[in-house]
Amino acid sequence: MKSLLRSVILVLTVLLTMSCERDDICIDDTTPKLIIRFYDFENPELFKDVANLKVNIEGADGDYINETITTLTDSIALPINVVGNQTRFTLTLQENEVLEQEENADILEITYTQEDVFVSRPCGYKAIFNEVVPELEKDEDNWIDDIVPLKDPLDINNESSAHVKIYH
Amino acid sequence: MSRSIISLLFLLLCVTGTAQRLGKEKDTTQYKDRYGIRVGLDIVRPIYSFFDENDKGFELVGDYRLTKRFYLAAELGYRDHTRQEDFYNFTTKGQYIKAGVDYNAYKNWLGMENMIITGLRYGFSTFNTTLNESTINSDPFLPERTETDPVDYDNLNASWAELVLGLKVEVLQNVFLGFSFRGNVKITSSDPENFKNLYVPGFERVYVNDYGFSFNYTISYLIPFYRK
Repeated sequence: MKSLLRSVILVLTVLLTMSCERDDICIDDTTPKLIIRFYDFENPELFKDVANLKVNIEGADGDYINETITTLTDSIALPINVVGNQTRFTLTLQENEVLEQEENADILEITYTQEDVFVSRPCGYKAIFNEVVPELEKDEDNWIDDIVPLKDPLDINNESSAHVKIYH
Repeated sequence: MSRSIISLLFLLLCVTGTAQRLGKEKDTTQYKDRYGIRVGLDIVRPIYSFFDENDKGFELVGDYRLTKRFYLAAELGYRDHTRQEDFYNFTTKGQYIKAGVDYNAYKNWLGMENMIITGLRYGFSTFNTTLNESTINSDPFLPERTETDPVDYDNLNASWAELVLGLKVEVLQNVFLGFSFRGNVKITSSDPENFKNLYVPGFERVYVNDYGFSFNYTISYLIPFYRK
């Protein structure tokens, strides 16, 4: 009896001082980014790389203030603002002597409606973007020739494929 | 073969016959187990409720002895629990009932009624959940959006099966201290649209694959009805 009581007290103390650790981390897809692929304007079937691209996102702080992509690339993914219903991206081609490229800034603006979708316990809610309309701001010298959404109407709810084509 | 079995049976009959005759005089000294209803409450929940704003509740427990080793058992409780997750927090309020059987796996010494319990329960809970606040999980470099309007999800329910392992020890005449550990598996759950039942009263935190764990520490009192 006494030893039984003693073991009960021992087990109680152990269990009371024990606490649980959180066991899951967010590994699911959350708010999708805007995926852009660059195509050749003269030959619309082919991808065309951009070099020394700089991206600014209005309202961003930290890295995206002056994000520079120095390598050649034919696709980029840009985060979309979840506050408000529009995001303005300034895509700047920086000066490059080898490519005989001059500095040229073009502005891409997308407007959309948002929907919040529950993902999982650790991830919480993500936003998905519906009825996305990409638009190029015209100036005297656009390096971007055309912007075409891959679907119409365009919904951005995952990152599995490109959303917008840019011809240049 | 059959002849030897039959003669063995006859032999046994003789033995039991004498035993019964002898037993008549011994009856008064033989210890009889007490049968009755045992009621109690969780002693840790009220302490939690007092110190933790986010975890209030109580639980009543009871069992009724059916046979030497089997007991009918039930728990009845209420929980008001707020949980903070990385991107949101929510409050779940509701009541639950668990009913099933306990089996005493402990062979007591004469005159003792302690228990090592293995048991099974069916649990059912009805509850309301409020999503108090949520921040959209989006790019950390862009401004974040937090929804502060609470969203109510009412009339939710869940049911589950529960495996009980525990102890009950008589510390004073008729007074038992007990603790139990429970492993749960969810059977049904009415998940709200665009949210999930992440906490269920009685079941507690719902882990991946619908598993859960819970504890209770009880003090209970035996009301004996008869001896057998």
